[in-house]
Order: sequence, then structure tokens, then C-alpha cells
Amino acid sequence: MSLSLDAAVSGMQQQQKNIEAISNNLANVNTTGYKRVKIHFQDILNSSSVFAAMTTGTVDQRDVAESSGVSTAAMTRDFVQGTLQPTGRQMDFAINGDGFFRVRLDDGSLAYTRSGVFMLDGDGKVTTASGELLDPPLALPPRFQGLRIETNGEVSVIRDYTDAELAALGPFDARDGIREVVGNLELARFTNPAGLESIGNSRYRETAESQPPINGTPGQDGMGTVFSGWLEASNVDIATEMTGLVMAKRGYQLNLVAFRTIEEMLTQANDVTV
Amino acid sequence: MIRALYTAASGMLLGMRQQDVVADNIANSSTVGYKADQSAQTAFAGVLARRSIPAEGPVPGRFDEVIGQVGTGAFVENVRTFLGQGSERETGSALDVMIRGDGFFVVETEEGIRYTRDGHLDRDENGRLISADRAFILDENGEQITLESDKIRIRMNGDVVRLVETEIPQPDGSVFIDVTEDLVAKLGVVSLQAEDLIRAGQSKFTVPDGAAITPVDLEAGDAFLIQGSLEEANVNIGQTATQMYSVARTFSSSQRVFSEINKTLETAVSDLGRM
Repeated sequence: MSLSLDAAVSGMQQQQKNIEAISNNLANVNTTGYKRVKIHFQDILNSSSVFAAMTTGTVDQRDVAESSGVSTAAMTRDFVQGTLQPTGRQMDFAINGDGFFRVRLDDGSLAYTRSGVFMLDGDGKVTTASGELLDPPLALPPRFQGLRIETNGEVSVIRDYTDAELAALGPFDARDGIREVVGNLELARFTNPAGLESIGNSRYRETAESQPPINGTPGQDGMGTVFSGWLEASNVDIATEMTGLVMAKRGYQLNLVAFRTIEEMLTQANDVTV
Repeated sequence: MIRALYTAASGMLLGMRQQDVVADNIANSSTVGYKADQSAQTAFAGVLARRSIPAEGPVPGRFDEVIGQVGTGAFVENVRTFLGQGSERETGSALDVMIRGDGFFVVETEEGIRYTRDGHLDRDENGRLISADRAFILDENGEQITLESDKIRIRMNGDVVRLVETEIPQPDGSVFIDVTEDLVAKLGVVSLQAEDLIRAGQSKFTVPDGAAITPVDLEAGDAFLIQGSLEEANVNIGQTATQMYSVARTFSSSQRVFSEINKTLETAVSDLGRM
């Protein structure tokens, strides 16, 4: 009997976990570059006697049902592309396709992100919103406009004229500024992105399971291309999450009802001598 | 009298045992590839009821005449796995695959070969195809499958093909990406008998030695694979909830009968005994 109580409790616990994962996805629906988390359940076996029976080859079906409940086998991140949204801000970069921006953490190690909201630090170097330097470092001139990223990752800006250049211009020459290449963007992709470890702030770290990153030029060897003035929205689909939430809630309720019913039966069993 | 007490008790035990199975099904109603368990109940062997009648004939006496059978309760004879198809849930993930029709994926765990309908796959650090709990997915020859990337297609006939992108520069400077398919392996799918299935946990089954394991011919069309979908548990929520209430009420009835018999016995012991 306690088997069925265990089953009902495990059902409630796992549905609770499911609701937590879904609400986390929903909370991040507007987080740039957020990738939704999926939860995967498997049933569990409580009885060790079953394994004993299996090894000796004498299996009684009655033993076998001594399995009870459910557990979480995996929580995986879904690295499906999010939709690209125009922002008009030059320092917003979005990756269309495979790949991650490589950033250097304060401790010197590398992390990977698809959140393309970049800033400039005091030295004119490009950093993420949380302050990590882009790797390889990219420095922009003090005043610039018209930032452009070519499909091969070449970054160019239109900078102001220096005084000498200004003096050399003829009276009727255009004064649009000078387009200058300031550096190259590099991306990293993983053969198994689902194995990446999330370290917060939309950043991920490589693990043995993700396999080492493959660094490369945007637009080549299966790498995505980078757009300036766009951001990648989260890949959370509200309709899917809400459906999941309703299912999880109903699942929880059903397990709760099962728990109460079994509890009632146990109470009655205790009442027989009255 | 005492026999009736045991009969009522068997009814209560039966209810508890049935509820174990029902609760397990409810707990796993969100488990991919879960197959509902069903308990089959059966009656204990009945006993013959007799009555004593006067014997006819010259010698006075009595003898027993059989007048029917008295039941002695019920128990759960066995728990079977219901192999009905679960509904399809589309996930869009390249490494999710479901079996439509009869069959099980073959996986290699630390305990040995197991069978599962859970097609939520992943790749480990060496690129080998694994299940969510890191058991190796085997191909039709019982070998592990190694994939170099997530860019794969799983055909309806079980072929796992890798999509190879080749960039072909065009005369006008643009790049044409040609995708070719490279057959890596063919997923192993086998058919098992429902009565052989033994639950092994982690949504897996095992079978006793000598059980019939027939490879499923996915070319024949009776069963096929769907990439990007998972099979939901085949637990019918409405039916299971109804079953749970029905079992609970039957249990209550048995408990009432037990209590009444208990009271009667008490009367017999305390009141009759006093006389």
C-alpha cells in the first residue's frame, strides 16, 4: 500500500518540477537568447527482488509490478533558433543559425552565449551586458556610426575624419566619414549543444558531453551569420508552455486525488477493529 | 464465520493491490513511452457448501449433501502491460523519435539489454546515441551508434542518416549549399510479447530468457518511426481515475463487511460466551 502512496507522492513531486521548469521558461519569454528547458520523465522500479528474480530467470509477474512512481531522467535545453527581432541598436548582434559568441569571464575562462546585447567598456572594447569581453577582443573607435557585419564576420564602422583628413578634403567632397574595418567576429559551435552547462546570464560553459567548441568564421562550415541591429528572442513558445502548464497542473491534481483516496483507504483499514 | 472474515479481508487486500497499480499509472501519466499496467483479479478456489440431511433407510443417521459453492475471496493474479499506442506529441527535436505501431527500441544498459518505447535520444561525450538515462541505443545489428553531429534525419524505416552540407561556390560569387545524406546506421526495433514483458524501471522492459524477440520489418509499413515526435503515456486519465474511485468504493464495502463480521464475532465471544 505504501507503494501506491510513494507513487502518488513521486507523481506530485515530478509534476512540481515540471511546473518549475515551465514557469522558468515563461519568466524568460522576453530574455534575449534564452533557450527553453525541457523535462523528461521515466518510471522507476522500487523492488530489488525483481532484479534478483530476473537474474535467476524465475520471474513471477506478481513481483514485477512492485514498481512505483516516476522520476526525472533528464532536463535538457532546447537549442532551437529563436526568432530575430529588429532593435535598430548597432551594438545588438543576433546569430542566425548555429553558433555562440565567445566571451572571456573574469577568471579568464571562456563562456558561450547567444545573447547579443553588447556594450563598450572604457577602453572602447566590446563587452556583454554583464561586462565580459568578447573573444577575440574587438575595439571600436571612440565615435562611430554605421556598424556593419559582413556575412564572413568582418566588422566595419564609419568613423569621423581626423583633422588632417578633414583638411585634405576639397570643398565639394562628401563628408560621410570613412568606413574602416575594425576586426573580425568569431563564433563557436558545438556538436552537442544540449550538453552545455548553463552558468546564468544566458551564458554556457563547455562540458565533456558538449565536446570541445569548433571555432570558426560566421557563415562558413555550418556556422550561422551575425546581424547587427537585431536580437534573437527566446525560443519559448507561450502556447506550448501554457499547454504544458495546464497538463502539469492536472497531473498534479490527479496524483493528489490518488494520494487522498489511498489515504482514505488506509484510514478505513485502521478502522476495522472499531 | 471466520471464513467470511478472511473473504472480506481478501477483498481489502485486493483493493490495496489494485490501487498500487492504478497509482503507478497515474504517477506516470506524463512519462514518455510509458505503458499502463493492468491488474487482473481472480477468485480464490471456492469451497463446496454442504448441508446435513437425515439418511434414509433402516439405519438412522445423517449425511452431507452438496448444495453449491461458496466463494472465498479474490486476489490479483497478475499485472500485465497494456501495449496500446500512446498519442503523438510533436517536439520538433531532431533527436526525438517515436514508434508508430508495434515494436521497441533496443538499448544497452549496465545491467544488460533492455527494451523501451521512450525515443527521447541524446548524444554522449563520444557522440554515441544514448537514451535520457544514458543507456546506449543499438542498431539492428546490436551495435552502438555514433553520430558526428545533431544534423541527422531518421527515416520512417529506421535509417539514421547524417546530413552533409557541401558548399559549392557559384560563378556569380554566391555559395550553393548542397545537402547529401550519409547512411550511418539503422535503428534496431524489435517486437515483444506482452506476457513476456518485465518492467525494469527507467521506462525500460526486459524479457525472460527464451522469450520471442522478433525484429520488426519497418519497410513493411505496419510499424514506422516518426522523427521529431514523442509517444505519450498510454494512460487513459478518465478511465484510470474512474478505476481508482471504483477500487476505493469496493475497498470500503469490503471493510464494512469485515467490520460487521467482526462485530458479530465479538457478540458471539462476549455475549454468547457469558451465557
